[in-house]
Amino acid sequence: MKQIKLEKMTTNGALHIRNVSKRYRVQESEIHVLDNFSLTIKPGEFVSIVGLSGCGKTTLLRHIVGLEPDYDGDIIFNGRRLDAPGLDRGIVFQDHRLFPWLTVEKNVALGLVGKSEKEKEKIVASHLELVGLKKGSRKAIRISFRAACRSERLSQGRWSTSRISCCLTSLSARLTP
Amino acid sequence: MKLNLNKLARIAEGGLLPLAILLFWYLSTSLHIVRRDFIPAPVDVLAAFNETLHDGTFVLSLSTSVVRVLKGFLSGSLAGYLLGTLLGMSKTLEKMVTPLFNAIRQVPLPAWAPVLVLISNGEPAQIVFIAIGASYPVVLNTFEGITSVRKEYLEVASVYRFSRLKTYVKIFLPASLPSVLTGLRIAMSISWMSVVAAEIFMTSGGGIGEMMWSGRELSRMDIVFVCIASISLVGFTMTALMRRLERSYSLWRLTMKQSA
Repeated sequence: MKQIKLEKMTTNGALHIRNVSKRYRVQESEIHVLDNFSLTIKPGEFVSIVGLSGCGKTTLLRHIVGLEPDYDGDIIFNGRRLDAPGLDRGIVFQDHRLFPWLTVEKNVALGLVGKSEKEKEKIVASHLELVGLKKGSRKAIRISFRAACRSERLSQGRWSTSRISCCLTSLSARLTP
Repeated sequence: MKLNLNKLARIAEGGLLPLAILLFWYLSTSLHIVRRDFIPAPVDVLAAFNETLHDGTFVLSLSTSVVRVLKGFLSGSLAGYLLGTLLGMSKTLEKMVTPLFNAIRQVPLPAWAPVLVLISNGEPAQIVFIAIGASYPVVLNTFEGITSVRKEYLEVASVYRFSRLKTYVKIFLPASLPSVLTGLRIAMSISWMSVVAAEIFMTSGGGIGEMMWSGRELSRMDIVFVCIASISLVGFTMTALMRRLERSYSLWRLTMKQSA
C-alpha cells in the first residue's frame, strides 16, 4: 500500500487525474497497466490507493511524480499537465534509496535548496525527530564512508523512516516560505 | 594476538618462495654453477648497492624516476578520469569516441616511443609515454563506475531536480569512486612499469631505467640487479599503498550490495 503525500501544503491545487491510460509493450503482447483512470484529490485529502500487486499503483505514482512522463490522458496539478519531476511533488520510494556514502542527515538534507547550513541542520533535525529518529539513535546509524560496513545497525524500518523524512523535509522546505 | 599470529603466518607464507630463490641464487653462484660476471652473486649486488648508494647515483636515479612517474601518473589519470566521465555521462560522446579509443588502445605502449621521440628526447616525451599508459585503465574503470550507477539513485536526483553538475557531485562522483580507485591502482602500477621503458627509449635526464641501461652497457650486471630489485620493491610498495587507499574508500560498496 502506498500513499500520495500532497497534503495541505499545496496552495490552491487539487490534483486532477483524467482518463489516464498507460500501455507497455512486452514482446508481442500489450499490457494495459492503466485504463482510463480518473481521480480528483482535493487539497488536504489523504488518499490511499490499494490493490493487488501489478495493478498499476506504482505506475500511477510515477506518472504523478513525473518519473514517467509518457502517458495518455492528463494529470493536472496547479493548472499544469505533469510530464516532469517538480519541486512541488515528492515520493517515498518503495526501496530506501539512501546514498550509502552520506550520513542519514546529509541524505535528508539533499532535497533542501536555498537554505543556509544552520537552517538546513534545524530542518533536518526536526524532521528526523518527526519520524522517530532521535539524536542518539541517529549517531548509531551514521552511514558515512568508514562507518558504513560496521554500522549494519540500520534496520529496514529505519531505512524507510529516513526515506520518509527525506521526502517530508524537501517538501516542507519548498512549500513553506 | 591471534590476529597477529595470522598476519605473521601470511607474511611467512609469502616470503617462503623469495627466500628459496635467494638460497638457490646464492648456491648457484658460490658453487660456480653460473658465471659470476653474467649472474652476480648476492654479495656482489649488495656491494654494488652500497657503492651506488654512497656515490649518490642510486638515490638520485630512483627519486628522478619516482617524480617522473608521479608526473606521468597524475597527468595521465586526470586526462583518463575526464575522458571516462564524459564518455560515461554522454551517450552521444560514447558512440562517437569509443571506437576510436578502442582502436588506439590496441597500440602497445612501446610502439608510441618512435613518435614521442620526435617531440623530444627527454622528460616531456617520457611523461607523455607514462601518461598514455596510465590513462587507459582510468578511462575504462571510470566509465564502468559511472555507467553502473544505479538507476534508482538517478531517479532520486530527478525527483529533487538536481542540476547536471549537482547530480555529478552528489551521485556520480561518490558512486563511481571505488571503481575509479581500482583504475588508479592499475594505472599506478602501469606507470611505474613504463618509466623504465620510457627511460630506455628516450635516454636523457637520468632515472633508474637509465641507470640500469648504462649498467648493462658497462657490463656491470651487479648494478643491473640492484636496479631490478629496487624497481620491484618500489612498485610493490606503491601498489600496496594504492590498494590500501582503495579499500578504505570502498567500504560502503559492501553496504550497497547488502541493502540493494
